[in-house]
Amino acid sequence: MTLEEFIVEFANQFEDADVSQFKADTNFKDIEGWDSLTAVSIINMIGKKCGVRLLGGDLRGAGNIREVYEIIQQRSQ
Amino acid sequence: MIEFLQLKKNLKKDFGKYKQIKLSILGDSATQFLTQAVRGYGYEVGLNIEIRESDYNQIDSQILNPGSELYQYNPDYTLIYISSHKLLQLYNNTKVEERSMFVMKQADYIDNLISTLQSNIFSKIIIYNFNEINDYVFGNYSTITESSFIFQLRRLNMMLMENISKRKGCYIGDISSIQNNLGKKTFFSTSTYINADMLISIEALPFVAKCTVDIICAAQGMLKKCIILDLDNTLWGGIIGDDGIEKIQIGHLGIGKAFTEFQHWIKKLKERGIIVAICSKNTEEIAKEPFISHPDMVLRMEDIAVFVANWNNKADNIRYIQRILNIGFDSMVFLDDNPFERNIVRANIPEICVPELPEDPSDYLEYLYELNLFETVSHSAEDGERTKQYQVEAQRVQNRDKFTNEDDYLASLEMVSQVAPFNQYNIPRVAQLSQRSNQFNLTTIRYSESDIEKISQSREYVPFTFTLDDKYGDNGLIAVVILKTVNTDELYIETWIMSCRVLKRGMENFVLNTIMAYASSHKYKVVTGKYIPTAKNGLVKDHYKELGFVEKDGLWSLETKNYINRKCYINQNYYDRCRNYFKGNK
Repeated sequence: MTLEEFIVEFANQFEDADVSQFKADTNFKDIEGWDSLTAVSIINMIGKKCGVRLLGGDLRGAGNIREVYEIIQQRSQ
Repeated sequence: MIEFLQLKKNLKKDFGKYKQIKLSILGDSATQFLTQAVRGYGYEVGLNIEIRESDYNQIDSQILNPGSELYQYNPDYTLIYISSHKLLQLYNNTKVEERSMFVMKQADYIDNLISTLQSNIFSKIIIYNFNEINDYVFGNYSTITESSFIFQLRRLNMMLMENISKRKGCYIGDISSIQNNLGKKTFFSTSTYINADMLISIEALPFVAKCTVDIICAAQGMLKKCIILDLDNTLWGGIIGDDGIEKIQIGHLGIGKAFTEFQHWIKKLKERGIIVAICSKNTEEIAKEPFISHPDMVLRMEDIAVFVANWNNKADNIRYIQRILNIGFDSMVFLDDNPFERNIVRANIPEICVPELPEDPSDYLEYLYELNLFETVSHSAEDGERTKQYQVEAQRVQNRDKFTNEDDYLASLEMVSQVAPFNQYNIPRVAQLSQRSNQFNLTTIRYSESDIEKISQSREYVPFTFTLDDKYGDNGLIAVVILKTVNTDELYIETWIMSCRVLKRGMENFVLNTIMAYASSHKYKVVTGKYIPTAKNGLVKDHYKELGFVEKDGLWSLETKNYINRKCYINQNYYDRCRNYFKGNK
């Protein structure tokens, strides 16, 4: 999955997703609608679409969407 | 199956146009996603399910405390979800020597919860059963070790079925079957569990939501009552007109097996009370031949309520079937292997349910199982007789054409109606009629069996049931009237429902004569009633007007003083206890 495709999937997990709001360097924790349930949805999506199991701490530690994407790239190698 | 993400998107849509249902969800794990999924799925079927979710793990306090938010909310439905995982944790903390008896206590606990809830509010209850977890402590041997968890869990599921089947207004959401169908690996996600304490995976949620909403729909009277079937390559393999009776595929060989099993399923539906009709492009005699003489056919002519085989457009033929059965298109399912025919029917009759049958007949059954089209919340012994009653109705329709005069025709039917109050024999049927009747239903109040029981014991209410029998056959219990005493002068018709099978026979007149006889013998001055419009009861819009009632501010009334019995050709056959109704004082 490319970074651009990943951003769309990522944005889709938010309840009021306006995809144009989401960029690679967006700090997703500042976006309205970010909460623990969104985190669960995102971890689930990454498990299904990327085959990578993230932990809650991985998301907490990441600053923006690109960093999450990079964790996935590392783990899937 | 629709995805969870889509259900979540539904939450933003306009629910205003849909019927509102109040649901309370009580769970011992996190239920936020389940709540979203159920509300989102409600949108798919046209229900505005307003959900009040209890705080995490508050089942006991919400049910046992009479002042809880649950009771304040007063929901139409209460969903109780006790998870297998929490059950396992309890089991782990149970002393070894007590594990063989572990679920006895659990079953009592659940029973007590339900009893308490039902004694406090008028809510219907849905409880999920337990999806299986095997801890493999005893390996396969756990299946014959009473103290093992899986042994206990399976027993609890069994006890739940037995206990709840004896209750009224209480249903099981069979999530154990959902896990069996999806597989535990799909149903349960360790990461969603660890991160959010949710025990149903995001992938499985739409299935669980559907199972929940299916039960609510059925309890709301949104039921499928009839299945209309094509013949060639739907009910058997091959084309009867071209291949001939000896070449069609049915029986135990090859693909024939799939059709045989499919027919067995249809037969079981028919035995349960679903009406089976045939709609096929064929010459009638040729189409009927397998039903009469093929040794491997499961379905026979007596299983079919209406048989239509001709070369007309299928949409027109389905309209003809609808006219005979007199039920709404939205309670019909049409199965046809041909996508072209399916689209024609869909385009012409949008209300009818037309499943996208898979191309390979071997997949028909599994596909139809998953759709769960024939959900119900009641079953009575009379249901199985329904096909026969519709066959008789078809005969009656044909016969009617012989008479030029309506009165002569009605007199020729030799109709007899038995009038009775509610009793233990007719309560299930009364509740069912109140759940199923949409068209001839003045107020569309749905009653559960326990509601009906309460009414039958109340002095405030006067209930009547009516059967109708004629020379062609017995229609069974076809009308219910529930009268409510407003004061010593006024008797209010809270409910008047009638099965559409018996329209145009003068049954309305007979029922009104009965009501008025009761009212005047008990010195009431006036009988009143309301028409509460729904999307489906336009049929009875002018009901009270036609019967001579006078309207004022939405309330129709008829004085007992000058009432003259309306003409009808139905003879009365009072049930003994009911005859007492007409004696005595208020």
